[in-house]
Amino acid sequence: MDTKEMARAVRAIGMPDGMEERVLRACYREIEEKNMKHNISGFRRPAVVFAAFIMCFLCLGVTGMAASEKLQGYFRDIKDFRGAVTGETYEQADDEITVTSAAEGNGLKVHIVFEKPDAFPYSLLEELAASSYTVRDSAGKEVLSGVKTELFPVENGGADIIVAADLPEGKYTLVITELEGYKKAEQPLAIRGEWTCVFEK
Amino acid sequence: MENTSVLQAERVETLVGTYGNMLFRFCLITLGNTGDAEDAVQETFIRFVRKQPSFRDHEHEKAWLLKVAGNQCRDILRRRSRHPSADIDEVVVPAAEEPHKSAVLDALMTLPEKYRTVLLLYYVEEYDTRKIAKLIGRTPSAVKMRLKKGRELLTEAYRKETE
Repeated sequence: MDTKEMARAVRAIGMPDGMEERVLRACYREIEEKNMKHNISGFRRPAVVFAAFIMCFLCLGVTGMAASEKLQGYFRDIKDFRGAVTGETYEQADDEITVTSAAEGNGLKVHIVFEKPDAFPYSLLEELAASSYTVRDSAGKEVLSGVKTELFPVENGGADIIVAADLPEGKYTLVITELEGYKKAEQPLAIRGEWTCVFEK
Repeated sequence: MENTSVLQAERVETLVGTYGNMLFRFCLITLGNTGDAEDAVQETFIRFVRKQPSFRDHEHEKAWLLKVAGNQCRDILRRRSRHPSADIDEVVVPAAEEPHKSAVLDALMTLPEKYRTVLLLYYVEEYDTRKIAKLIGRTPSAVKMRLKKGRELLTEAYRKETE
């Protein structure tokens, strides 16, 4: 077997359609957040937000993609190295779901609310689990990293998920980056975004 | 207009344009699916935005990005082992398009990840064993052994694919 053939085959692989735009969009958001944090003067802050708005508008060339607009979720195909579709995830659902949390006994009750429960894919979900999450203490140290929770029923436009979290007293930050939605006889749907909430034990 | 933000945006646009495809194929070969590969690539460029490192030259720049991407891939693989999910082979989804057929790629992807990575860095990105060792945090002799074993496994796997 010719290793040059292998190298040729691998070099033929490129980013899928739309990926470059998605990566740049995420980077622009990071630039905006980073520069806002470094601005200590309140006088400059509106100028930075406005500049970031203009930057996103110009760089993306898309009238809808402004820093001040809500993120919109979208489906993304998961493909293997051959390009065959093997599944899908629902991405960028940050602004479509609200998360709050409160300590309860030896656990943490996480209240999930779908902003538009009648919209797809939320309207189809019957059960929900948190599949990727971390808990940090007030010093920023990670004290818990999530094992997938049990499934909890979706009712009244959301769900209450219990996370096992036996923690000492103190203030903590929960960050969830993936939920898993279930419907009978269907493959689970990974719903991705970033949801942050603070709770006290 | 805030010059810092625009300059940072221009810098990251140049990097994504120059290295995006290279990082994507590296992450795809390491992780085996486009979703995780895209996550790893995105996080690599976000780390770049956060740290704003200075580079001596293009080689240094490329090596930094590959190292960070490699760390992202390792994190994803570690998370996968903690949260096992349904085997993707069990997922039955109609193919949206004709998959790219390549016996040599099929053969490569049957290898354990540690061999795929060194074969890709050596034959595709044309790094020498010393540089690969620095990138993946192993000794040069360990890299040479993985290359030798990787070639043997790849040859055998390719033979089976083309029988």
